[in-house]
Amino acid sequence: MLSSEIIKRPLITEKSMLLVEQQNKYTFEVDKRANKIQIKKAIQELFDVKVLSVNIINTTPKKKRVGKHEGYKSELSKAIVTLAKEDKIEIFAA
Amino acid sequence: MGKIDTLQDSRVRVEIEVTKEQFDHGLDHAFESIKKDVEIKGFRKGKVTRKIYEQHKGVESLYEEALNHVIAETYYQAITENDLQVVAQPKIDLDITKVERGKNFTYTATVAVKPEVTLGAYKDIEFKSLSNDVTDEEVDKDIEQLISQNAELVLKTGSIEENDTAVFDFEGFVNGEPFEGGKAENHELVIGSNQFIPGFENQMIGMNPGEEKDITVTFPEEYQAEALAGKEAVFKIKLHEVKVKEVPELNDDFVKDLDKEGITTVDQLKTDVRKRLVDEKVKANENKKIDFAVEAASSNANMVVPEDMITSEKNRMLDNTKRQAEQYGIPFEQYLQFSGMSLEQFEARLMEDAQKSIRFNLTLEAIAKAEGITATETEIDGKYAELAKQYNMEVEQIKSQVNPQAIEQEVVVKKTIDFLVENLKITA
Repeated sequence: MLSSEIIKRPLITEKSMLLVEQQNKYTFEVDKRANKIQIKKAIQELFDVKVLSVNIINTTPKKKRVGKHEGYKSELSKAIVTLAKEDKIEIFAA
Repeated sequence: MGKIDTLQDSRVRVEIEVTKEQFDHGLDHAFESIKKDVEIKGFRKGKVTRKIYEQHKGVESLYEEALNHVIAETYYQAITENDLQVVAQPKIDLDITKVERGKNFTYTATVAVKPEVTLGAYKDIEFKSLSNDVTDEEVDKDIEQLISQNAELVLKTGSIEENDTAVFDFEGFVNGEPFEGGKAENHELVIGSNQFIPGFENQMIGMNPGEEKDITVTFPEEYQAEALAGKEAVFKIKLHEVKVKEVPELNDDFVKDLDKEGITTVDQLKTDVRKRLVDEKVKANENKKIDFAVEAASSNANMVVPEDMITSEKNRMLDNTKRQAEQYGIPFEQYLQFSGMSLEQFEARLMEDAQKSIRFNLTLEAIAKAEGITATETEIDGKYAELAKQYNMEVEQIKSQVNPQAIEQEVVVKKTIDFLVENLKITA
């Protein structure tokens, strides 16, 4: 898979901003099929930073209903990437 | 800071520069003030950081708020630095396309300032002295009024005559049916006062107490109750009492009944009334003198009062009137109706008043300056004491509530008026 396929988008929320500020950890939405090693490589390639560790969270899809149509919220994986102290990713810059 | 142009009619245009640091500060301020209402996905309301906000909404969205802040600040600074005595709201001219973060920009403020006053003659103005004399007729008239105020209604045995007061029950019928508002008991009516339908009162003349009578009258065509207008009505009347106004005679007994301290005879009453009338006249003449002195000084003085200054004074007066009307529980529109003026007319009148009062104040101020009239510590304290007495409060309490500058001004104005009056050239 291409790096750009693995990393879908940055997750920018209050909580993720807090992680950036306090622990230099960056949160992304990633492809479900990707593993930690692929993610690590992809981030290093895309942002030119050194990744220390990757944690993945798989969210359970929730049941949603619109009228009589039943469906699910899309399933997604979140990856929390810890960077080396001196590195930063611009799009999160607080 | 920027340059200053003096325009006609006492206005100045100030060019003011805003540095990029000042504008940045304004942006910070703007963000802080709108922050709590910003909603962006992923953040609770009001928890957005500055960077994220700017990514989403753009820094331009902060400009308006930032400009308000920055302009208020720099404008105020410019006025104080240049020692301008501003008397109205400024008109701000700003090219919004030139505003950008990280750049300096300038704007101009055009504002009315206190006009220069060129004083004309204000001393030794001739004033024809007014007489404080009170004539015998004036005294008699006052006493007559006093007598008629003390007139009493007394029961009368005879029949009703014009100007008597009748006390009676009545019930009215139209086509044999009673109607609303057509019934009352023990109603008091002065015959000849024309409070009732035409013809009603006339037909009562000659009735005796205890007598009953049917009166037939026709409601006038333009009667306020439409259902009754133009109809013929029969009123059943029962007369209880007839009263007549008894005017007391002017003698020592009447004077004693008035129960005024130390006054027991007609002559004493006359002296007392005369004394009061003289006092009133002296006061009125004193006021006339003051009006004349101030009016003369201000019309001799030369000044160009800026339009803005008059307008803002007018608006202040208008607001005052509105507030007062509301205090009495009358909506402002109704107040206008009472006074029989349209809003335009009312405003035009206020404009005149405003101009006059501004001219007076400026003139007095200029004279005070020219003559070196200032308020002393003792006089200011005296004014505080006076106010305290007036509002029934402690002096300290008053001091904390009023603007000391306003008090000083008031004392100076008072002294200046005194000065003007003293320097009138009284002619016989």
